[in-house]
Amino acid sequence: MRPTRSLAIGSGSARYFVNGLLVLVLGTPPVGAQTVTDAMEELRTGNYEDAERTFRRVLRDDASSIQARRGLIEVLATTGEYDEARRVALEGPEPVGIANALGEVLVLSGELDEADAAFRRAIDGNAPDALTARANLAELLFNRGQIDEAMRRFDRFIDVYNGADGRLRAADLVAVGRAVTYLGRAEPVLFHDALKAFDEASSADPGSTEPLVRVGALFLSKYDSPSAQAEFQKVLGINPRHPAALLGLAEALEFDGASGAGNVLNRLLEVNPNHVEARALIASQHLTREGYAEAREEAEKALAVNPNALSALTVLAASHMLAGEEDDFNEARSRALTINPRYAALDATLAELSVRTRRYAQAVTRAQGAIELDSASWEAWGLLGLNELRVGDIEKGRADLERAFEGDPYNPWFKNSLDLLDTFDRFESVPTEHFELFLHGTESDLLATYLAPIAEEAYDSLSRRYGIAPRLPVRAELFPSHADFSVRTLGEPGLGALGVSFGSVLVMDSPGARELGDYNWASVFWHELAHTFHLGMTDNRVPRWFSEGLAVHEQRKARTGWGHQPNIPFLHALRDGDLKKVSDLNDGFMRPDYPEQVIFSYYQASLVFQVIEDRYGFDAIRGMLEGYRRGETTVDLFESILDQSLEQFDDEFDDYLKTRFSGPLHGLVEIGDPPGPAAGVSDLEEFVRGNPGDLIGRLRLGAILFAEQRFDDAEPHLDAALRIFPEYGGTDSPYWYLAQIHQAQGELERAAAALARLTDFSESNYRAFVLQADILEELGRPEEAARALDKAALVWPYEIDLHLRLAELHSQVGFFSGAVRERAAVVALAPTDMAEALYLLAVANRDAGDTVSARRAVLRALEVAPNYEMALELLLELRAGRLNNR
Amino acid sequence: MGFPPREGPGLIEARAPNAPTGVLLAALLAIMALPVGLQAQGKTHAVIVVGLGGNAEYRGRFHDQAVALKTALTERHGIPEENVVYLGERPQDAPDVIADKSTRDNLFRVLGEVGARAQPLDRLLLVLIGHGTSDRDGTQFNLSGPDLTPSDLQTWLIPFPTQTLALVHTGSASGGFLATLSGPNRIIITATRTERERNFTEFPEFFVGAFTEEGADLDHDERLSLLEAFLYARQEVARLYEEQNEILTEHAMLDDNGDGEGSHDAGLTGPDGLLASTFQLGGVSATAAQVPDDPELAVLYEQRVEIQGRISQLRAVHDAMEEDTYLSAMEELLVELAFKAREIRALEGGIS
Repeated sequence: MRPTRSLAIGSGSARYFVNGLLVLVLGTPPVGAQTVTDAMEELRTGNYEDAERTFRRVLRDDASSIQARRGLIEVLATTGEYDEARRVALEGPEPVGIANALGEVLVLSGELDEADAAFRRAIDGNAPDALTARANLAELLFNRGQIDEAMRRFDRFIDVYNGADGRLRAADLVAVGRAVTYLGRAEPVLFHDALKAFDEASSADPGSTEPLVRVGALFLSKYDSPSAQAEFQKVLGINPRHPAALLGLAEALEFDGASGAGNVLNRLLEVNPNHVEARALIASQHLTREGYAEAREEAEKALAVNPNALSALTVLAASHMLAGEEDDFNEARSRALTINPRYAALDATLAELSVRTRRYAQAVTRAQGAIELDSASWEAWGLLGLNELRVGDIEKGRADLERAFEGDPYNPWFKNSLDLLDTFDRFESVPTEHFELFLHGTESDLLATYLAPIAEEAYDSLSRRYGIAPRLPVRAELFPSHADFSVRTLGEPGLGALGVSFGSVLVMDSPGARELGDYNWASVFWHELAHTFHLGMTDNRVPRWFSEGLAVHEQRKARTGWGHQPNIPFLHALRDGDLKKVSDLNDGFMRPDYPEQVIFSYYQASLVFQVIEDRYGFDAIRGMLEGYRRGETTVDLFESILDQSLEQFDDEFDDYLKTRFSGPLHGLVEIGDPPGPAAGVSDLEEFVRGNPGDLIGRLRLGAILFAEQRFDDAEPHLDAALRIFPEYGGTDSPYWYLAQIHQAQGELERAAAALARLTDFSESNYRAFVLQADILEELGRPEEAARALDKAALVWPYEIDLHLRLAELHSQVGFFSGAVRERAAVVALAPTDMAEALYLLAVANRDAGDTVSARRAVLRALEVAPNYEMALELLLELRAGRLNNR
Repeated sequence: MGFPPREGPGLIEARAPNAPTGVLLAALLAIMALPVGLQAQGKTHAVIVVGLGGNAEYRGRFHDQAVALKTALTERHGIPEENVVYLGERPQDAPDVIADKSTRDNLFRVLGEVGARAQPLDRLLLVLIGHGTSDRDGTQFNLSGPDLTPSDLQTWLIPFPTQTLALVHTGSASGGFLATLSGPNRIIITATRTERERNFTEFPEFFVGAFTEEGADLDHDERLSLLEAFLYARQEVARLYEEQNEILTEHAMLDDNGDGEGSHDAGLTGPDGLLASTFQLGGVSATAAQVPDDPELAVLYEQRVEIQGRISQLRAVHDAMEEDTYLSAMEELLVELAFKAREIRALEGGIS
């Protein structure tokens, strides 16, 4: 804290206690005013109807009661009756005493010049609430772009505080806290002083809710949502209808990405249907789920109340921007900037919304615009930096983030991102024809060996299908720590995803960031690269559901078994009507009704594209992507390209799902009471006898009998389960049990067939791939065994034994380049006996006819172990061959 | 565009299976960087001590490791059987291999006996297999009766004034032995960095494995040095923890420069590892001396050492050279070495 320009806080609490007593003694109302006190209590606790009646009764008896008039104005403002509040204020006999309250109402209804005049009247007239009026005026000036003047006015509050020697009332301390909060943008440490001022206000008037709301808002502005929510909940404990606390709580829930903000906002609108900020927040929610029309409607409602509401104008501008309505967007933005020519929050919000709708380059432009309006907008600097990183401008992004963090050292996203950037010197860039692979140094040799060919294959395939080339090179970053991947994506840990495409920058978990069997990294890479094409083709306008579904569809086109597959929870959701219609599928991603709905939506959306490609051809999909680029909507595109309304397609797709899954759906019809989780074999047998078509019953019984090694008894139930749901490739798939049963019974061909079916429906079942390879090798089918192990390496490439085995299998069948790849993988995994690994790599190179690489590898082996006889002999052999070839 | 995990958020962070490539390779290269000189070395004496197992599982495990080590030392690495002593928890269970009960007194006696017969250039390998503990009074190796402390060993090793001593404590809390026992001409290997790493250790399994299995002769010279055994065990321990997705709770240390500070990343570039690299078992060192009796063979050995020395010199300037130039020069030296190896093998009766 600066010694001269900070609050000299520290001696306070006892003094406030004394002040409180003074107020109590001096302020004890005469008996006739008791009803005002009652009304104030009704107002404080949210009994607004009674409070209004009481205040009006008092004013009827005594129109000069400023306390009652201010109370009535506050009730009316709180409940959104702004016109009536203004009328009550204007008819009062003592304009100065009411001026500040009038000004606050005028701000709410957007009459800014009049509000300015009212605040000045209160200040000039030295009204009892003049200090609050000063804070209001400074805030108004700030929000109208007169930032320098506003900051000068805020700065004076420090002198006011320090000169008051602890004699400030609670309301005055709140005013001080508000002022110091603004000063914090230039001097972040002052946020602590603001907090102290609010705390002192609470101490001075423990019953007052305003300091608590202000503290909550301050915490939230400093990204501490739990503390903020605790403060808002304190207020709601006193007054469950407190609009500001409800708004704060809703904002905090939105900040957390938690559900429930909508309910809170509905409660708020019941209290105050004209609450502009609530409407703006609802509109913002619509925007994030890409509901532009709904957002606009909500913003217009807010603007009808307050035509100068910057928050509503921001959302309105954003809705036009995101819908590609440039003229309307410019008009809305101009309206906002006319009110506040330095309104950086507008462009910063637009940048933020651009991110939420995956328009990262646009986010960069908007953040730059915000900085031009207000160079002290740390939020904008941060958005600029973060989005520069997302579009691959790493050094510029780092520099701008550094600047943001200097201005806002509380921001965890800035700090996390900078910390992550500090680790980038441990990564290595591996260029390929179309990619820059950015891999951690500890695994770059290994991953590049595998990733480079997959990446190029995916690029070729997708560029052929979509007929475009994204901006090159595509930068693919793989992080061995999931937390780092998450920070790279969001600036914070906790992202429940495996990969993200920002366009020409992809970031992913490396396989080592997950548990074995968690995912197939090659498949996910393909998925993310598909997004790159979709984003590039649509100028980032493709809706989320469309791109996600299409990307999964591309995974399945790439390899059998890749991508999401049907499972029992999905079928339950289908059976119970818990899936979104196609027309609402974006909500399945952006506003899911329950957490699993996101995963179900991926699979469901992928089937939409399977249907479209099968029935209408891939050109239809390409045409739709081109339409999005032109700004057309999903509704338009279904009509123009598929020649049917989206609602008609809803029905067509519903029929498709029910037909496709009729078998397993029939097996999931609940008849009678299924046995409980602890049911034994006999209970399940009895149930299955009565319900032979029950999928779950068959699965459970088959699994239990398998566990008891009663293979002959298990087999018919597992077969029956497969007849009901032949596409089931989960970890407890009947195929898995049957494969092991067949293996145990020596029926290796049947075991291999079961595993082949299983891996047709599962991309990441490492154990299944390895078992499949074991059995195929035993059957004398080394090429197929190698293919199975190749698939295992796409799940978990870190097992040395797997690569050794693959190398031997490849050599066995004369696939020497495959053997070289595997030997190189072994070297990359840093085996304990590095000399031997290098020697065997040299042998593989030699066998593949690459004597140059063989020489290099054997020399590396001999560097480690110069007395390694076999390596020395190989060196002589290679040398002799070279000499003979001269 | 995000891609979700298959089931739920799945935020468990797996450690990246990042093998410490650079560290191990540097250590291996450093092995090569030292010309393998023809050193006259004395006999090797080995004392294996198995402490209290505490239960049947550990008792059996420790005994198996000790037997495997003893067998490997005598059968693979050429130490005469009479020079290997195994003190075990229950001699009665395996009287053919266990010389006596592993008590403090018996160890004191055995070390005295070995010290009395050891020649000035002889070497002692003392391996402790069992549980270590530590408390406010210090660190101990658990034995039947009174436990063994670092100061006990410090005193009992006085009869070995000139011999190279290698003490390997493979148990928990073993790091507490290192500083006390460190000294000139001593190699101290512990399974843990400090006495505070008290979890059961996997180190002995792999340290013994270095002697019993293929793969620890990292420079493929047909001999196993204590440095190689240490590097092998350290690497395999790390790999095991990695495979089990667990945090490494034991950090093996090696001190052989007498400064009382162990190195986890030991190697010939120092500060620790040089002496351990010369404590070799097997190959030529299996005999009483490394210099062959045949004068013609001795000349070839000397010539091989000279070539190795030039290879080391070349490696030392690697960073200053163009890669192609370096590799060409290295190839010439290695070809020379290869032909020399053929000559040696021919004379030794091998296939040239």
